[in-house]
Amino acid sequence: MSILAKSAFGNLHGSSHALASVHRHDIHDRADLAAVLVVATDDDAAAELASIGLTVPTGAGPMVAQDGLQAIWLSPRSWVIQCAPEAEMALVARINAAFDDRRITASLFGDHLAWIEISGADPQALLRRGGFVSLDAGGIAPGSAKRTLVAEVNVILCHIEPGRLLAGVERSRARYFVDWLKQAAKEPSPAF
Amino acid sequence: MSLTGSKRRASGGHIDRSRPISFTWNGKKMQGFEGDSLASALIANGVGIVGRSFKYHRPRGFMALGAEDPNAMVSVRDAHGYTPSIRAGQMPLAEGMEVRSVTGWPSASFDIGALAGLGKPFFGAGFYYKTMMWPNWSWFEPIVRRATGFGRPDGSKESRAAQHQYQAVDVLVVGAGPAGLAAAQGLIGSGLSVLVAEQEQRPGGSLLWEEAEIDGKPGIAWAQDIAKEIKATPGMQILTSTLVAAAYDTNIFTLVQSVIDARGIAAERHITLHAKQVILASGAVERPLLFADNDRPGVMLAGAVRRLIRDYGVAPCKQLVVKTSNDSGWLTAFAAQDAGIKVVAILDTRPRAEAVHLAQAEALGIPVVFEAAITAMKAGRQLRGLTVSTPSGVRKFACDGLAVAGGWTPLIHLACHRGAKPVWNDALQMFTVPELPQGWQASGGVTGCTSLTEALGQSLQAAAKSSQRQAKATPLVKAPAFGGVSLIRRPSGVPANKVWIDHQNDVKLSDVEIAVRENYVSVEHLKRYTTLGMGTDQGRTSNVNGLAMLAHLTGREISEVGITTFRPMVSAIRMGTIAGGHEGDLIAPRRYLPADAVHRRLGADFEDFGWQRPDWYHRPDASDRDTAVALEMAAVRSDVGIFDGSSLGKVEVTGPDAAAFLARFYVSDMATLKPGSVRYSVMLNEEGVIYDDGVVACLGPNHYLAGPTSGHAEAVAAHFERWRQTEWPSSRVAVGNVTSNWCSIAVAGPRARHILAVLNPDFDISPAAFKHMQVREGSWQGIPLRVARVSFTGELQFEISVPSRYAEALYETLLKGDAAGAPRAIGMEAWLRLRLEKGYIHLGSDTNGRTGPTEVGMAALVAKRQDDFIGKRSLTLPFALSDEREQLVGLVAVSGKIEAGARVLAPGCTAPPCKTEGYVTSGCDSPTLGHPIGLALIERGFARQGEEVTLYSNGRTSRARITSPVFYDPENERLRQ
Amino acid sequence: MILLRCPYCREMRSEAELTWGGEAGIMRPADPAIASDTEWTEYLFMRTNTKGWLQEQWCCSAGCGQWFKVERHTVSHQIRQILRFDEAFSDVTIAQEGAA
Repeated sequence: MSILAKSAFGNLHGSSHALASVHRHDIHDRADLAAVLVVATDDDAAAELASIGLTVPTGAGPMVAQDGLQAIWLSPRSWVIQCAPEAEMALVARINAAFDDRRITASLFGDHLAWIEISGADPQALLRRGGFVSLDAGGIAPGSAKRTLVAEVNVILCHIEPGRLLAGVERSRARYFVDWLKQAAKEPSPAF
Repeated sequence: MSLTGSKRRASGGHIDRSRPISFTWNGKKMQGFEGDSLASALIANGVGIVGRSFKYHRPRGFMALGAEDPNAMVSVRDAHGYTPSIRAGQMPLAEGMEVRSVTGWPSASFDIGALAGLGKPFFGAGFYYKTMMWPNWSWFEPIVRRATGFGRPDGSKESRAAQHQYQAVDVLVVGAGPAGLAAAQGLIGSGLSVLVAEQEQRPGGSLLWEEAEIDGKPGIAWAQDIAKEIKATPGMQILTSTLVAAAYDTNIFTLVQSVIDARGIAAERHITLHAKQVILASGAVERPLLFADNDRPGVMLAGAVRRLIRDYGVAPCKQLVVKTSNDSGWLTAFAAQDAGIKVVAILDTRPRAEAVHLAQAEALGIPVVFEAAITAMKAGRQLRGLTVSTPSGVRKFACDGLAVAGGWTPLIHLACHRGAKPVWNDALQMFTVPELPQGWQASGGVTGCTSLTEALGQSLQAAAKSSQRQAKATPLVKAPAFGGVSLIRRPSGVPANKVWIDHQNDVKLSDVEIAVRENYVSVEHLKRYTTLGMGTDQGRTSNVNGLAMLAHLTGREISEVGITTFRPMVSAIRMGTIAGGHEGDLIAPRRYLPADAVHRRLGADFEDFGWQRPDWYHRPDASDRDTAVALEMAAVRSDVGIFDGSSLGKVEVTGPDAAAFLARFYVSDMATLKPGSVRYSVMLNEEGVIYDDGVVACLGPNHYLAGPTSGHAEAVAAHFERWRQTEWPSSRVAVGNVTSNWCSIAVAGPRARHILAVLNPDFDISPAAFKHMQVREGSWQGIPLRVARVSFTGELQFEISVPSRYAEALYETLLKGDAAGAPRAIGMEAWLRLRLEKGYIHLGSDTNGRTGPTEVGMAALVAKRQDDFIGKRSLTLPFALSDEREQLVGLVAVSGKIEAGARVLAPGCTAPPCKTEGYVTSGCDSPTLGHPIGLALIERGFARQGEEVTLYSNGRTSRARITSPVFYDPENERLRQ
Repeated sequence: MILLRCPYCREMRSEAELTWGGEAGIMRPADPAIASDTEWTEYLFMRTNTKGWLQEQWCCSAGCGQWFKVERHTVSHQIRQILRFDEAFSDVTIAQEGAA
């Protein structure tokens, strides 16, 4: 499709900073990830979603992976489901068709969030230059996700595996966030 | 290096004589060694006068070697940057440093201000309050401004890198002196994460210069061994050159770590630390004594003299007198004698019976005088001798150095930041904090303890409590006695204007007397009236002496007088460190439009409206803003324009109760909105004030899309959520903010439909099928497409949305136009003026914190609502019904301009000062109408249609007539085409 | 800086991640239309402004977005109770040091 070629999916909206290799870390724009936002009117939505074959976490922390999807708990009645860009529209349609009274609603979210992958020695330490990340010992455990503020930007942090972390950032702020990451990763002195 | 003037000893100290370091002092080449601070290097090079005092330009020398020194302020340029003002003792010496005095002109040692006696008639106690009074304070301000401050910024950008960091630990140990190190040692093996922060470059604290043996090792070796052990323990770290600058609620701390290399301070790290527990081992600083002419260069704190000798290998003078009120001063005499300095006398203010080191002094042949008071000094620019009154008569001593030991002031600042109360301990003659904040313990000098054994014991107890273990055994300590402090007395037989209390701010005993005479007897008043303790040294050496004098003069105890409030920071920190890289584009989170690159290519001039948005576009026919804005507006009025409205909020409200839920928020009844329809309205806060405005689209049953104003989407979504959770928890509704998922490009103008047709949408866009205030969903080349027919400009307008990854593609496609031509790109300024011509409100500009729906002409809408909505009840409160309220009206110029912000003067007034009755909220020259127009909030505005008013702005007046706010197409014919 | 453990996502949140919502237990009149001016303005404006233990509302705004209730000492910032929004404060007369 011609228009897809014009504006590569997952761009940082005009930024030339989509990729960067910074001190001990690499930053990638994960253009291969999209997402769906699922919001529910009732507290028992997880069970309802299970009834259509979608398993979502019932509490904060561990993510649930299933059929190429990764479900992240946002609040007692909302989730982000990471998926492939090609799967996004179908997933939205599937959920909305199942709940036609809209007690559960799925929305396209792949363009709302930019997923920035930070890989390297200690991604959480890098992020701690913009916020506590976690006040609990051990930080965010592998396989878990957490919403917090980093550099005054709301992020969904997903600890994929040791040394790899995904930051879901609202798209309009993604360029700032990457610019900030590059600045924060600078080691101004060997003594640092 | 010339040895002339050199005070460096051939041996001794912890400096590395094999590594010389060159630097300059006021342009003069000097040399120091690795391990020197700037202060020790300057003293070693014979620099006696380091600055001039603040008010009287008195020559001042080094009094201390750390943050407590009131005198040695210098500016330093090192390889990494410029520091306009820092205490010499706080700066490690580095190769190539250019050091300058910051007070005194033309130089610190020769100051014209002092010769002329400038300032003498000027700066007595209460100067500011007696002088800085209306109407003529401004005469004095420039003079005082020039006279104040230490150091000048050089105008360059901060070049030193700074970084922020956040960290959480189990235990913060403040200070790596003997107490801090012992506490940390006690925590080894506990499994707790521990951060030990030490202000100095090396751990050890007083062990660097005091005589002590711990566990059979020299004190410094013991300290180094523990430091090594800590570093080797996982989860424990020592940060040196790290100031714990502030303590905040819930044990959050600000730390500033200087990263030092061979050429100076390379970078700084601003650490925000959370600690579950705290062991405060910040120590104490020495207090000077009060006597005549006590500010002369050559008078130093006794502990600083010991440190110069033992840590830096510097003998500051040839003939030393020690004046002390306690045992520690005697140790300076012994150290000096050992370093080859002739000790002329030890003057103890106490009686003979209290002196524990007397036998040693006698054995060394040092003359000792008890109950001695200094009554005069022989000194020009350098101390030459003193006159002492003793019980057996007046005696004179020749000397070029005087070491004073007046007891100790615990560094309780951090505990006091947290609200801990300083309490005067009469036995110790110190302020301590017996009650510490929750989770805190203290050990060592900060508790008032002067015994090393006791300090180590306290530390190990604290560590045991922190780690909930048995305390380790206190090591065996051999160290000389430090204690025995005598009372702080007013010096007798000496004029009060010869006794200096605050050396940095030039506050004398006579100033305290004036303050008391004028009844400024509260300690906080004394501070502000005399500026006592308000200097950059924060009164570390002066506060206690000052309030002891206040107590004496008012016949009170020091415990009754109290002490002034301690506030962060503990010591000055660089602004650049606080900024920490947040500068330029990184100063705060910026938001970029999805088609940002296209706007840049089109020559947009950007403004920050919460998002980086095009304000206007450079074009071949428009090189300036006014021309561009006029052409952009003309394009919309006569042809078609294209505008990026992607920042507009998109909040999905869904669920079985969504309609009823939305109806509770908007002044218009959203429950009656049909699928495919759009409605504009305002929402209020519970006080009846307009909170937001925008359109709500009904996309289908139980499915709505609210469009909050740009930059307000997150707030409105949170607002919905709050009411959902806290007031209507059983409401079956869900809120999802999907703002950035969609770009929204508006096409507006008589040809807008033709441009929309370029997309060839899969739904009918004919005027009959797609009416004003309707919404359609379909697809464009297989991707989701949503078009709302709404108007902000007064023209036919479509708002076209696709997922934002296609923003550039959509914008470029629309921009190509059709066979009849291409739309013109429209920036914010033209867009806002177009809506102003139409009289549509711009939230936050045309409304303020008091504007309700009635004031913007929506009273009829409110009256139609039978049911409740947020804020409705407040609209019938007396203040809401008052006819004095400012109402939004239009203004048409009669003469002159209409500028936003101009005040509307009361009838009969031609110029201020006079009563004003409102202000212009928006104003511009309307190219469409050919004259200036504006909107204004004016008291009783609705009833004043046709009235002429006077506007006043920035010294200019103009006249305008009050009209309807709708200047353009009041019948709404154009937007319905 | 206030630190609170959110009772919904169980994360310890620092002040930057939280939004303060004022005193808890402020009841909106059931039918505003029949509330007197006094009742309505009491609801809008009148707060105890306690120096001491205060029951208040907080939102985990940068986390899970949930509103919850906290009993906090307005001088010491000690926290005595943290509850979900639908839970009721219990009568605590003895400070439970370091709850949270």
